[in-house]
Amino acid sequence: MNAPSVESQNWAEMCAVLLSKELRDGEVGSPGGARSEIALAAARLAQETHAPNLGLITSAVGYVSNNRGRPPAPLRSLTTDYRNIYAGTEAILGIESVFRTTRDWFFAGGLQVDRFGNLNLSAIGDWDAPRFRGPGAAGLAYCSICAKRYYIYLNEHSPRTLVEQVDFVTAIGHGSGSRSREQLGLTTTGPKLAVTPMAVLDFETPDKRMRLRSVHPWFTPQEVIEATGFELNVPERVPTTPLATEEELLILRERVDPDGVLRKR
Amino acid sequence: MHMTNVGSRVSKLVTLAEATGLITDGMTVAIGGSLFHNKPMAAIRQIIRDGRRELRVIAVPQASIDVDLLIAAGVAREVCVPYLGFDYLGVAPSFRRAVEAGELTPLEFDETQLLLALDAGARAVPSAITKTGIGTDIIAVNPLLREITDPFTGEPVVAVAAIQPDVALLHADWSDRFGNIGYAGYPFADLLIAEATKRGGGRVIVTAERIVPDGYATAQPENVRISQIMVDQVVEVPFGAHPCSCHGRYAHDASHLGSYAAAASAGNATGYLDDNVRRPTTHEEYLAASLSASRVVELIGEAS
Repeated sequence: MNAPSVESQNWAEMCAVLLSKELRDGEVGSPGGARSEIALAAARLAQETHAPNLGLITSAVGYVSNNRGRPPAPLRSLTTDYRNIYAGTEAILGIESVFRTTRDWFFAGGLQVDRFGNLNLSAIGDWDAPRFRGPGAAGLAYCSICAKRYYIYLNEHSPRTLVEQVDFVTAIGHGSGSRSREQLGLTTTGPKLAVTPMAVLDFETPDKRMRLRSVHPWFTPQEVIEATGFELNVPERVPTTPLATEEELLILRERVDPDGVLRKR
Repeated sequence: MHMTNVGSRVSKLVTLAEATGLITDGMTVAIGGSLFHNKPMAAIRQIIRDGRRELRVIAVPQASIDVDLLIAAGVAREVCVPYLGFDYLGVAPSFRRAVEAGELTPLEFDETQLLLALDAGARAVPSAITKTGIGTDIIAVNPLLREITDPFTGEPVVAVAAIQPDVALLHADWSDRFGNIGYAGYPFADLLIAEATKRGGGRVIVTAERIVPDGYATAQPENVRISQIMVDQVVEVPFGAHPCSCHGRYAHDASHLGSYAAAASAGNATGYLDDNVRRPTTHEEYLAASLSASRVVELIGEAS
């Protein structure tokens, strides 16, 4: 087996593989809604590899699926595309069950994310006449408190997406840091990791401030620090995000994403 | 409204214009389906032709061109939609423009909060509680949400005011003439929307791809998702969800949706409305103008 190389993959494929390893066999979760190809790929890849008993519920529609042992079903850009959600679907939950079923994990995107992992999907600027109006909460205000843990994905790493404080808290991360969530009576963990085109970030600091966990091999830590709109917690030695192995890429491309939706990201 | 006696049972089949004629300015109209799926687009185009104004528009869980077109045409005064966007095709352009111009204030909701508001409406209780919204700014900007203390545990919770829409607009794969409704794909929150509407004395309008013969529902009652007891009017509109999907029957028309988004983003939603809504005066004329036979074949192929 060849050694992994930076030429053989992009950040989206690398992060899909990395996130798939976060999902443990037997857990139940959802990949999130809009622009969530990486999350859906991660969940399907986990089922194809170490987590064949992973429960996957497509968000906002109650399609419970497991495509293991079945013909490959190409990933689609639209999570709710009929072809996408019908891939390996074994059961269809009613809309009430979609929101009553506990999730071990969830994936969430956003217009802005702040230093404590709070997400804004609503509006940037003044609420009454914003500079940018986003799509709204979808189900993330709920999932951010219901799911035992969640993962944030951002398609842009810049000072306008990673900000000191979000203009509007649509979904709660670690609130104002430290024990915020417990003080609000929330019993779930909140955001565990955030992946971006440049880096992997976590919240493993005493005050839950975002920390640079690893830098993707195409960038330096300094570039990530400069592209972030707040002071990141940066460890003395910043690891490089591990590339997907050739074997992992092969399974991803043959079983999960034969049409290369992630490669085009 | 035109109703025909059929023995002892009454047919609910009406024309599109008869159905949307139930809607008057200022009403609360709830739209079914989600995002690009099962949207009653033929009815929405007819509402725009009817010249309706000042509607409060609800769509749950998600919406795209359905609500965006109503905003572009000046029909919507207020919108309650947990996600209003075009997913991988970008933002909802007319929604974005109207909100950024300060012309339209959306009522911010999480999907679970708005579903709970309809659930309370369907059960005819004034409000219901949830944990969703704790720690967020959503509660502060939406007058239909309020943080309160749970009387039993002392925990902070969010009270959601009940909603009972005046009219529900749904799109399904099939209906019989009595209003027994079936879906090819996911029914989303359509049943709950119908229940909340009906409980408040509102009217439920269903547009369907096809009208099935008597006995079709009786042969498979387990496939009826909404019973005729919930339904007031039924309209037959083949491809009535286009450019959205009839989930499981035909796919959403990404190129059509993309061309609307491009036109509206460039400030020319009016051009789209002229070509696709105002010039075609009926659904049949819309299909002739906006959907080719070869495209129909492709969209059906993409859903199977």
